[in-house]
Amino acid sequence: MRVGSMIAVWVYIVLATVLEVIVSYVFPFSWALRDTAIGLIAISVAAAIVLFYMELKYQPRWESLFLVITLFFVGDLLMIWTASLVH
Amino acid sequence: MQPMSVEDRLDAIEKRLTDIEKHLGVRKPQASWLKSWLLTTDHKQVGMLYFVTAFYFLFIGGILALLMRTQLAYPESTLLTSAAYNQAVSMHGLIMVLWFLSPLGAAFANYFVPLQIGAKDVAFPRFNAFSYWMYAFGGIVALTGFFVPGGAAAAGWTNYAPLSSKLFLPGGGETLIALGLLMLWGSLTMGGVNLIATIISMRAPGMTWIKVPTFTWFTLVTQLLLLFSVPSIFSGTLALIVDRSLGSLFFVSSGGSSILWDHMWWFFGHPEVYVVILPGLGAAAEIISVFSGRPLYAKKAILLSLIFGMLPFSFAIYGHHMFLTGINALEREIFTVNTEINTLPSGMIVLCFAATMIGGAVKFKTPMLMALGSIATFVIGGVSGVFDSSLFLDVQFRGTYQVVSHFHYIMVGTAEFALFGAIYYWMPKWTGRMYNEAVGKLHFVLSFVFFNILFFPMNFLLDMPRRIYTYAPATGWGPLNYIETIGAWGFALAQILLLYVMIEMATFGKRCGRNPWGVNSPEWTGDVESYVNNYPAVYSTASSSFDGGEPVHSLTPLNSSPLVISAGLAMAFMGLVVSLPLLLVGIVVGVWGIATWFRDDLYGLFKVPEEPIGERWPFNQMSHVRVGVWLALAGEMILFTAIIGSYLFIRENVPIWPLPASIHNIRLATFNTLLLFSSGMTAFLALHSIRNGNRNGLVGWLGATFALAGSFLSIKIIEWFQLLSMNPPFTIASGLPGSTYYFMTGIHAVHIMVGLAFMVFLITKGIHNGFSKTNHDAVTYFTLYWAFVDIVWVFLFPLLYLI
Repeated sequence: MRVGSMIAVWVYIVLATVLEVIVSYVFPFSWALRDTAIGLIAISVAAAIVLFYMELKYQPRWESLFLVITLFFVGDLLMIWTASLVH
Repeated sequence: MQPMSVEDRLDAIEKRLTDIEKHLGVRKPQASWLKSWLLTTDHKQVGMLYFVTAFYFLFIGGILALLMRTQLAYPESTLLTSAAYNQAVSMHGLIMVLWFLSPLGAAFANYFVPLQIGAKDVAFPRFNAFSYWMYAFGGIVALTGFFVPGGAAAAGWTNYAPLSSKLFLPGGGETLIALGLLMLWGSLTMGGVNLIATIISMRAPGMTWIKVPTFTWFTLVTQLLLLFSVPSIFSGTLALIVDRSLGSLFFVSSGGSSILWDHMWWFFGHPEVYVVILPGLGAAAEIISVFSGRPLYAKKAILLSLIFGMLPFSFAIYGHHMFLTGINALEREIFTVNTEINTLPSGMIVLCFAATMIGGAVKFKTPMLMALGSIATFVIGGVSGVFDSSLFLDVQFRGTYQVVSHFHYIMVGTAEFALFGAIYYWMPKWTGRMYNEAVGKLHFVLSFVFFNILFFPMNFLLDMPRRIYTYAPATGWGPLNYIETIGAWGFALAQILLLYVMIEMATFGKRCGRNPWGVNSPEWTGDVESYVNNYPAVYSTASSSFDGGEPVHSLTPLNSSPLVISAGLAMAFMGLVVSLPLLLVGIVVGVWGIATWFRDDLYGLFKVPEEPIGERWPFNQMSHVRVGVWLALAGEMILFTAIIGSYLFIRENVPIWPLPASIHNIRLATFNTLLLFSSGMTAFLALHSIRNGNRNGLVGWLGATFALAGSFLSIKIIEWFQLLSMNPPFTIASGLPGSTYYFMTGIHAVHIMVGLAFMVFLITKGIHNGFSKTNHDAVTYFTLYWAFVDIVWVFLFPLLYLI
């Protein structure tokens, strides 16, 4: 991957993190909407790290199998998050 | 011609001897006998160490069992006090399941898996030795509990909360068992990664998946179960230790409490049943095939049952241990149905074993008898287990001796008879000597008869609670308990015969030749007593063995780090409970061991023999190290999933949770988060530099990563001190918000520290020109690890600071 692309990914991660804080403390969202938005942003950051920092986007097909493990981890968290919101 | 000097002659003789040794495949003695065993990293020697140590723990666990049974032989017996009985029953269960049965399977796996697939050794020999020493020293830490005030662990083998809390068990024994278990979990995880990577990536050319021997397949599934189940209980045990030592409230408050522990324990505990029985069943499969004189019937069906049945369903049914804990009705129904479905793969395997024998020329030698005994007890235990899987019947049976009978038929009968069969079957390969068949058969008959005298009557004690240390004569339980105690002593004494045959096979038994059973299976290729050599050649389908290769030295170098680190950790853990000086000595020893490990890597002092590339599908383009790194990360992901899942479980059960902004400095935490995420980018830039051959860039960007990570950790520590100095202080013991915050950030901080140590190693090696454009695997693996540490914080940050 090019350095420029890597820096673009880093900028996205920084902006997404700041956005999470803004969503949490600046805008008067309902707590359910707030938590869902933060959850989705966090998952997008995790996906960016897995695909680019871990370079799974560029690996041979079968190594991408390990992406499934990572996505399982993320999906598992998403489900728990949703369950907590419903609760 | 010039006459040769004495020195030249000696050199020539030395060279000639080396050639002869090379030709004969005899290892040149390099170290003393004791040193060669203590520092070995060879898979066969490590396997033997597991074997001997497992029997040491069997002896201790067996003594405890006899004490319990003798106490229960008569009503109102006074042999043991209630406290002593509780310790005996708790330690018996833990030792037998975790320090005897599982490791005995690991002993065979270590020895035979590389031989069966044609590898020179396991994927990570040094980690293999480390796994063994963590297991052995973990057991020592656990047993130390008998010698501290308050005695050993006494909350049952499940360590149920809140009984395991300091409130009910204030002595050091419970803390020591938790610390010993922590070492064991580390051992199991490393062992799992190692064996899985070995089987996936180190098969000899021609050894395709379908040709992989059955025992190795069973081992693969066993290790996958461990890899995915242990992280749950690892985090639970860590929380228990923190509860007991630092006063956190995970298992002693209504928010976490016993149900949380139950989930964490049984998500590991039920798959552990399969971890215990599958190696034995794998060995039984090989034995039944060999002694029936025909290939295993429907091997593909057996493998499918394993992979798509037992592997996922052993997790999907763990809740059947929690029917009476208050989990909701829908969950109970799902676990009931799943458990009953799970009988199908077990039934498939038993039927295939039976079909293998039908029409075969069955020889009832001792290994075969043991395998059949294992299958018989598996069926009996399995049938009684079907009753327990029913929600309605389980409500009646739970906590009675019927359940004790059920799980001993599975754990002892199935696993132990099969593994005893494996000893009779494979030990002649180890030693080149045969056992006395008559003694072997007598051992089987006595063991099988007394085993059933011991455990079958328990099915008639449906009204006897299983966790009592004595009972009144009027209960009428005395006669059956007396019979069971006779069975226990008979079963124990019968094992003297096993000891005899093992000594016989090790020392004075008849020489038995290369392949005494006439087996057409890969591990029997080569000479007997060849524990120093493996045969990594091309696998021949025609002969089902390895052809075309001379014996090859397989011994990996000796290394002291695994032993030293494990010993240091054990001393530090015992010191936590017993004395501060021991803790300090342990830390020094442990750090010394880690330093020597890094030193050996830095200067290339630990070199594993090169492995020729063989079958690697589906990861043809990945090295075994890369596969191992990914597997380790997969285990880590499950660890953090369990930790974060527990946090959300607690959040759901605590009605009032303080707003994060009322406790934390959000701006500081956000800034710190950005530092960490930036370190992920600099780590990648370091990798990018060395890929382009830029060594200065590598060192520079690694230095930047170190600075960013160090800053993150420093700010985190400052944050902790600020919280501790608040009024009122926000501590780990001040409530569940504090407990969860310090626990989660603490574990993450430990990962940061590991990363910092890794970076010191990489920077040092980089400065010494240890990396190049084509040789920088360690930097790649570090980048993967560091990205993982980032991902964890992606979730911890919003959970702890934003919502």
